[in-house]
Amino acid sequence: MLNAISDVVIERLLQGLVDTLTMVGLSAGLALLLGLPLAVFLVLSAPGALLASPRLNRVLGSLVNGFRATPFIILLVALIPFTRWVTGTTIGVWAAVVPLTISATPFFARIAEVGLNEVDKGLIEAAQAMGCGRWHIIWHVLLPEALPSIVAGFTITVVSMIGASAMAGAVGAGGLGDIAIRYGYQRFDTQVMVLVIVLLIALVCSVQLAGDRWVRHLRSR
Amino acid sequence: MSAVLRQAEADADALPAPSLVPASEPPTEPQPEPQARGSVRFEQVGKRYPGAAPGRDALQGIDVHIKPGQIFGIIGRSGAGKSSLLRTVNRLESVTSGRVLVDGEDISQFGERQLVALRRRIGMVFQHFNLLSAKTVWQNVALPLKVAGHPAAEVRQRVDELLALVGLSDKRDVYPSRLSGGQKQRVGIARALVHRPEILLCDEATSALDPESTQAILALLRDIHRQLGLTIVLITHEMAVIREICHEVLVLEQGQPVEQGPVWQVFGAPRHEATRALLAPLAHGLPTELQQRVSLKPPTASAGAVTSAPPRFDRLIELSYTGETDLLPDWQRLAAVLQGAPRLLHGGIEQLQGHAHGRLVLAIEGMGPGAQAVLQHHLSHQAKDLGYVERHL
Repeated sequence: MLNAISDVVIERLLQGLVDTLTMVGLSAGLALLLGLPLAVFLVLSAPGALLASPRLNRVLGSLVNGFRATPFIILLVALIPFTRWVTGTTIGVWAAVVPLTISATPFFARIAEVGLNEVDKGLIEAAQAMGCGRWHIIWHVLLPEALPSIVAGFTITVVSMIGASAMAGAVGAGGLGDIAIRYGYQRFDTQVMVLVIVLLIALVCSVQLAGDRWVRHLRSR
Repeated sequence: MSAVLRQAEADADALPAPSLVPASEPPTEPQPEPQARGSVRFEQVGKRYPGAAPGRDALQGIDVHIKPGQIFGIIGRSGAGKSSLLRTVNRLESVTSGRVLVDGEDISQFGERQLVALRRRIGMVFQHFNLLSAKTVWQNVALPLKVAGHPAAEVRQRVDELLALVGLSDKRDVYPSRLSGGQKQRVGIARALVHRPEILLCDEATSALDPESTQAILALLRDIHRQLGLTIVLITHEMAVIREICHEVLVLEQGQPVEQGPVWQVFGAPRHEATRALLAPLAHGLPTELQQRVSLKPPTASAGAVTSAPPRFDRLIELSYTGETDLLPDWQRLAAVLQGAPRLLHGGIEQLQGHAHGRLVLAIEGMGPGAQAVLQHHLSHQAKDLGYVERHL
């Protein structure tokens, strides 16, 4: 079967891989930048926490849940006006990055929130007792102590984003998933389908492996 | 250790003392410089947690003055409010009534910035160490100075000095998870001392440690107290810790102070039931084996006994020494008052801050008339008749 792979197919697959990596890479970076502060704020604004403001916490929590409840394919289409406003286009890689980011941010924020909540309250108390302000506590205590959980959560986020990016074909962003749907599923091209799945498995495995290694390194301290 | 301590002290003296408030955070107003620093005064302190039933206050009517340079112990059963009271000193807990004065200043009036400055004057050591797992020993000790904005060179010097003081210079680049409990607490102590505090709060600092590490940490605390002369306030449920290092002790029961005074006094003659319950493990109680043989009534020779020699009985007398006066067991006078030679069955006398206290259980053949009064008033602080016991030999 391998002998039969034509150059066209290889080129198409490579382009798909590049598109997937670009989409997922960009939106994962943005989800990290937006999700982490969101998670920190969700933790700190919880009742009884450092910056307790239960009402804002509830509003933000509902918003996060709302975005998480919406299936990605719906979000992709529903966000088109917003995407156009942000990127000036509704097709291509950037058109997929906006909805991917918006779907991954609340997902990652919730996972990071769990990790941040697991930080021993005694450490926060100790930091207060040594004269740390709120920013010091976030920067020197909360984030470094929760880092292994945050990295593990980010790995899960990236893997699920690789899955979601398959739907990006709907806005013409391309990517491996799109190739699998158009060639493998709609044109019954089993060879392409199998190759895409193998590539996706390899991609997901390497992301997960890298994440696991990093977490193990952080936890070994 | 002491050589290291002296060296660290000499280094400390050579350095200009860093101001308590970093340059980036000037004090909001000039504050009066008190004569002796490190005093804590609780005035009618009360604390009620939201939602607590009336009459179930966590703290109530605490009126205590902790003098500068004192080692002050707070004891009580779990849930008595020890931890809450300790945490009001650096306002990790706020009071709901009364005032807490540190060096004469009401700390409940402090704003955010003054509070941070206050906390830098008060070190705190925790039962579970509360070290940051993502930072090395050195980074853990350096953190309080770093967040206060001290220059890097000064931080380096101070941290090295403190690691030497607690004897952990060789562990500076190790992560806390690689340390033993005793070593972790040493790091905790170094971290607490890094701002040269005038008060050190110890929250069950030795409760998570094995007996050997406990002794070592107590020795370190005593050393630090002697060298730096700071005020130490500690809470513990280990009475031996109080006996070992404290000058004064406060007993809390359900949030209320029930007894307070010098350790020798409170431990020598506990007045409150709660104190007695706490001190029970320290008391030399009668061994069970002996207890089982004691009968309260004078035994009569059992009827129908055919043994040639009738069983002989001893009376058991317990003499207590509370440290109130210089009274010590005087064997010669005891023997003179009691018939025959008294035998010492059980007990012990120990020195608490120079006061002898303890109790002895004596077996005697009998007592002359009035002997009990003499024992009670001249030969011990309290004499108790425990009963009769059959003599073995």
